[in-house]
Amino acid sequence: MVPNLDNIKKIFKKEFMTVLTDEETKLIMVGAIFLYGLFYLIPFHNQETRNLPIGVIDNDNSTLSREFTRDLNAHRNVNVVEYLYNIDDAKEEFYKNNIKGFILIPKDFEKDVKRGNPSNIAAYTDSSFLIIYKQIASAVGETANYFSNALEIGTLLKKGVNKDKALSIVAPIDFIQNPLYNPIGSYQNYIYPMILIIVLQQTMLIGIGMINGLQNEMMKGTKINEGGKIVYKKIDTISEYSKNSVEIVLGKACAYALLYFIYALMYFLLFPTFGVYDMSYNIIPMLMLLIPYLFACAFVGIGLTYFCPRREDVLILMIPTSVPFIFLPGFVWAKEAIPPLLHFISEFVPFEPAADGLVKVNQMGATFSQVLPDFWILIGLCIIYFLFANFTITKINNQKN
Amino acid sequence: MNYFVNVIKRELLKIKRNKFILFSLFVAPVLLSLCVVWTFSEGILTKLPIAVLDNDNSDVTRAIIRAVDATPSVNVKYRIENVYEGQDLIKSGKAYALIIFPHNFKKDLDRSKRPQISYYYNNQMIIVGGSLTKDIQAAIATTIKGIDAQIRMKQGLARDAAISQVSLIGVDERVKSNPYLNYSYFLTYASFAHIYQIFVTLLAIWALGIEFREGTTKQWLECANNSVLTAVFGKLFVYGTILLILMFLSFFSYTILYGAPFRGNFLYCLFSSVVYLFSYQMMGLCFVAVLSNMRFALSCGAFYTSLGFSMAGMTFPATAMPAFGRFYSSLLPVRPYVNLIIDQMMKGFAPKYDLNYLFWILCIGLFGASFIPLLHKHLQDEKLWYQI
Repeated sequence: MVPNLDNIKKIFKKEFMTVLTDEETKLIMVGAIFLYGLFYLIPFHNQETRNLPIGVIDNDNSTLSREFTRDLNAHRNVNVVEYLYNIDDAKEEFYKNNIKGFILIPKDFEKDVKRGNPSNIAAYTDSSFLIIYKQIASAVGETANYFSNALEIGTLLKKGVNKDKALSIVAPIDFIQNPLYNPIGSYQNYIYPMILIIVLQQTMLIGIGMINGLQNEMMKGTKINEGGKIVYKKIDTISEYSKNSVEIVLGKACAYALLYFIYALMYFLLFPTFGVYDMSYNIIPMLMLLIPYLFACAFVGIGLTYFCPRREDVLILMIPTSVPFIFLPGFVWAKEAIPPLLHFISEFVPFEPAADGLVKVNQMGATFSQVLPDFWILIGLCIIYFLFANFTITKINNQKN
Repeated sequence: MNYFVNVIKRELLKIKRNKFILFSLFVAPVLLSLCVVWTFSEGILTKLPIAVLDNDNSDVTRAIIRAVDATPSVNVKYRIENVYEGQDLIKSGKAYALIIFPHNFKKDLDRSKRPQISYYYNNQMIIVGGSLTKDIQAAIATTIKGIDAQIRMKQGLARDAAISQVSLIGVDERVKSNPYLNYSYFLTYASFAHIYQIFVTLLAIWALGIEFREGTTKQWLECANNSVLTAVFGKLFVYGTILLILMFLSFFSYTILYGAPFRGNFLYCLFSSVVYLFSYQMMGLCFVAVLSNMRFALSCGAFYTSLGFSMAGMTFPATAMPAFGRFYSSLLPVRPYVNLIIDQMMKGFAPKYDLNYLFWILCIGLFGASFIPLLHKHLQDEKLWYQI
């Protein structure tokens, strides 16, 4: 049977109004969109981890060792907060969480260095939290390198070597690092865009699950408190306008996708315009990914009512999945390190190809041809989940008959 | 005691009748924990593909490329002809970095002209980019130092003196608690804590709130001989015990199967986990007591817990957050709990150093528990029944 466009329009309008009038759904599909968008700005606002507290055990106590400590303290990653006498003291401070690591400058540090003998500074760092480890290790490494080079250049200059020659002896190559797409290594630019993409999926699935779950409950008959008055509600069909599952699915999905399209524009165009995070404004490829993404989410949301038959079920199911989902698109953990079977399974979650494609397009300035595989996966998901949504709606509509 | 058992029996029957809750309580937490473990099963990032543009193609550049390729985390997968090819590989996600050697690299090195090596890396993936950069830089530095020492020896310096001059001050890294720099341990432990906090809170809200939704609050109280404490704790005991067992199974199977470190005090970890789950159940109770509407309480509980992973400093340290972020994260037991578990599991701290964390978790729980009288009051009010 060919779907009737008029029926689809009526179902679309009704569904759109339901989202905006049902208190609980409004909380998720309208309120949460803004709340999550704002709240997730908070943790990464400072963008970088700086001034981590560290301790110093200076067994040399010489001019050179004090100079080294001063240079280390000047590094933006760390802050020397404790001067300690021995390793036991340092460990105690570390256990009390007063310092995140410490360095030990050996005895005769100055004597050795001035004689041209190598001297090693021991850096004790806590690596359970890798971000903290990385910051401290790079501060100590860079300071030692800088200090070492400065000393050697000084010696060469004293010997009458000219400055350029001295520099080429100490650092024979010029290693130029160019961090791409996120030059300052901002956490806001790294995590936040991915969070926005997952918020779209999760809130849409929960909202749809709430609407359809309630309709499913009412098909069976349920008591509802309407302003203090208890009424028994029972409906015969999921939509008053049509019994055709294709019309119902299309009408509902268009309503959800349109609403979320507006949110997506707000997230991906408006937020970056106000400087919330960096964006490459690659609009056409973005839209080419966004539209199938939103429809895939809408279809899977309708389909999920099969497994989550009551209004609250989908919320309990979806909220805990966000964390495993966010690890899978390969931005937190490299794709090459994710087991291939798990990677394959994850491609069935619309967020995964969408995050892969949208982050590349929005943050890295990729062209449409560079994200073509993600586009085709999303189109494939739209087809699969459209069939799944039809199956669920048919099942709900037929259950009382 | 009999009434406590009555409430437990009644709850078990309720769970048995509801397939979805049965799944959410017994299967979903295990599945999600397995998914996290599976994601990080490789442990350390290895063989990450990068591209190289070698315009010099000399023995020196080839030696550097070989050294970079020999680094466990790197795989020099693409030898490219021009920069655009490299750009395309990075943008499409096929390569994480690009190293460019200029023409006459070797000649310039021999003439002490400090030739440039340009290194481009995808910093949109901070963790991957960061670990790659560190390894590539070290590999290049080591190779260059070797070449440099050879040059100095040619200039007549003794071997030891030649080597020492290229590294006057070294850094001897003594990495505590995670010597192999395996970031997956931290992420896995933190994810377990996060996943279980969500389940324990939402299931507590469901369990308490469903009595309002189905208009059975009085029946529930009667079953507990009208004692709200027996009614609440009998009910929550079921969910808390099951989730505690599953959470511990997740932690321990991970340490046994993947060799993840466990250096702490078992009983202390167990006790802290009991307090942790209890605190979240009490926060769930707080939402139900205030709102007396299961769906609304579930939405609020979902918001409260879902922010946990980021707010508790698992992706970005909580201490580096702005004041409001630090304040919000202090309301979440997951922040002190993850600190405590990492201290115990990975660092092997004595329990006395983590008592402040335990006290912190307990305080949040007691705050939630202070809403029991309000819940009791609302349980008697039939006007609050059947809200959707």
